[in-house]
Amino acid sequence: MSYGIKTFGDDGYVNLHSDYSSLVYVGEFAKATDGVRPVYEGEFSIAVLDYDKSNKYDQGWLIQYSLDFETDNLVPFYRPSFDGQEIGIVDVVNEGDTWIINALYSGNAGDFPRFFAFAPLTDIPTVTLSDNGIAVYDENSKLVFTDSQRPLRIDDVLTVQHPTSIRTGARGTCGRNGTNCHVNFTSDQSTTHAGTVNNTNSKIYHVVPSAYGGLAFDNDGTFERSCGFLGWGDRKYAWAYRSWSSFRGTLAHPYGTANHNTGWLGDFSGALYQQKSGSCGYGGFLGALIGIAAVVFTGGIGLALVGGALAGFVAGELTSPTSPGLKAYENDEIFDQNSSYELLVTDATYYNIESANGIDNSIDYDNLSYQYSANPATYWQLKSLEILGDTITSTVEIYWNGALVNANATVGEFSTSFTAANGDTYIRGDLESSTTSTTPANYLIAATVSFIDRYKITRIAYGQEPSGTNGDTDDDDDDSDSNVPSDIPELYAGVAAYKNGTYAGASFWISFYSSADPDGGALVLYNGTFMFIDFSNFSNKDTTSVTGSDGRTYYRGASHPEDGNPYTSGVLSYRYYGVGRE
Amino acid sequence: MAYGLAIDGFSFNYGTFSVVTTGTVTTGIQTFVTKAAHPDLSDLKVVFIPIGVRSPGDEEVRPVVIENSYALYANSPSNMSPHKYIVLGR
Repeated sequence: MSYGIKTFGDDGYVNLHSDYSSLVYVGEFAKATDGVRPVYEGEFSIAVLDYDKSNKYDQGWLIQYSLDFETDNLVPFYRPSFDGQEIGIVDVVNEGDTWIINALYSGNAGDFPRFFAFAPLTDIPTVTLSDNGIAVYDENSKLVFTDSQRPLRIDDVLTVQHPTSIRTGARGTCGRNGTNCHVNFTSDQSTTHAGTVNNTNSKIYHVVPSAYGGLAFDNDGTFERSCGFLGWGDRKYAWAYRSWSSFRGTLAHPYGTANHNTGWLGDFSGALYQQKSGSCGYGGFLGALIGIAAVVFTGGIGLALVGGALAGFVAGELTSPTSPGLKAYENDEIFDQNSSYELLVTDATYYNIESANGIDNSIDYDNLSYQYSANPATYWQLKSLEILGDTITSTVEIYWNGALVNANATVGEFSTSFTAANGDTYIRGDLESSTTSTTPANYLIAATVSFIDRYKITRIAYGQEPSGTNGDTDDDDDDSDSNVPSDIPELYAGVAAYKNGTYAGASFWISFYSSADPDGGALVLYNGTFMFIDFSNFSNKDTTSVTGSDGRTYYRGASHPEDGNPYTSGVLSYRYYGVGRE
Repeated sequence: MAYGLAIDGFSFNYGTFSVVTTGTVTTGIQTFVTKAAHPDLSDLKVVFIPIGVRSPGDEEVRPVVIENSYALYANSPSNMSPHKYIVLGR
């Protein structure tokens, strides 16, 4: 340089140079969707329940963020929600002045990370300078540095790469009776890259992993059973099973270490089972039945998912053109694993970014519907007060539909809300019943005072839109057509979002029919999971109870004509109802 | 502080990266940055930022960077999804 300014940092490198723009913090991305864990739910699919997603398919949560900011170039950083959380930026999409991030994260739905944007100062159209200080311009009179916009501080930088395999351990097997079977695809491979600066909860990271891939499992076979007169004939059967888990490269940054671990997290999974039989014959065989599921697989989702199109699949709310591209795998494959890429580490506090986790502002806490039931237990129970000196603590148990929600978890002293590990939030309502604990005269108050105070309770399932009025026990005006037993809570949530392709946290019953299928069928969503999808004509549009994929009975609740009477979409007509679970 | 730049009581003595150049990675065209053109900078890094949805169904990959003593080269495979590059220096 022949003129201008050049300074050096403590690390001996140039940290300000009037030929080059500084990279500055420009804002935080807003969460645009809730986290979803899409699975294949089309023809011949086997239900992949939440437990399976976590323990068999290693699925993380796909989520989308957006930021409106006018810049040609943008560098995203993320802050993990908890120690060791796995995170991967899947896509960055630029549409005009809107920047979108698709990301994948581990943990519970409510553990979504935060994302921050940095951009070259020269790309920012308007910069407010300080009343005093310094501003530096390049030879084109573009602002390249100002003390009012602190440049990115690099705490650490290193080059990382992903492991060459996703899982090397045994997966188990699923066979002829595989209609409720899943092999284990959970990744057991990671690579540690050592940096120089310890990770803390205020560190934020930029890295865009390149690696992705999938694991798949196939099995098929035939068998026969006796049939016909005196069982002298035989009937041939053929079956096929297939499942897969699609993975993306992720990174984890354990606190208190300078390590950065590259690993894998699932973004899409599925399992199929098909069985067919021939006619009752005497030695005849339909050999063409072998491999039936494979044919369905290749001609169906394998094609439909190319290009990221999720239309026609129950895959959650990520159905926009900016949805991540998902792939169903027929074989074990890894792509783009050989690339090495940069990991930049900086500290959020340096930019005055407070270090709290992301806050979900989508819940309207002033407009809730409360429940109370003695059996199955559905209430907020204050059990005792523990008195030690001038410290008083309380013991609270939260029950929902018979289950103790806060087992092994502590509800804060005198709290009125509790968020469970899966992201659902429970809120205390009005007092329903109470007992009295009396200390006789001239006796000291015991260290523990026990009693039973039970309150109404409401649950905001993660992603659910609360409805109803505070104090109501149901949000519907007319319960006369409900088939849900009175001692079972009836849920109705998430319909508006579902019509737009979102089902996280949704709970309702749908009956549907069309001119081609006037009998129709039923579909049950409960807390964001499809518990009953009818592929075998077990139901029709008038069915009022079904057995869900978890073996429990689901009841059709009160109708909600405000959401469709019927609601027509395509060739199908829908009616929406509340739902209760035994 | 013993040395360096202090403005309004704040010390700008920490390590950072400045933006050397930016652009779009184009398939079939090798983008390179010669080190001789930036004699004041002794450490150059390239970060690639995707600018669209990547299709794993099409087996899309990200661009890669190769460095030697003279330059950094951003290579663009034929099945690359769209990316921008940002060359950072210090």
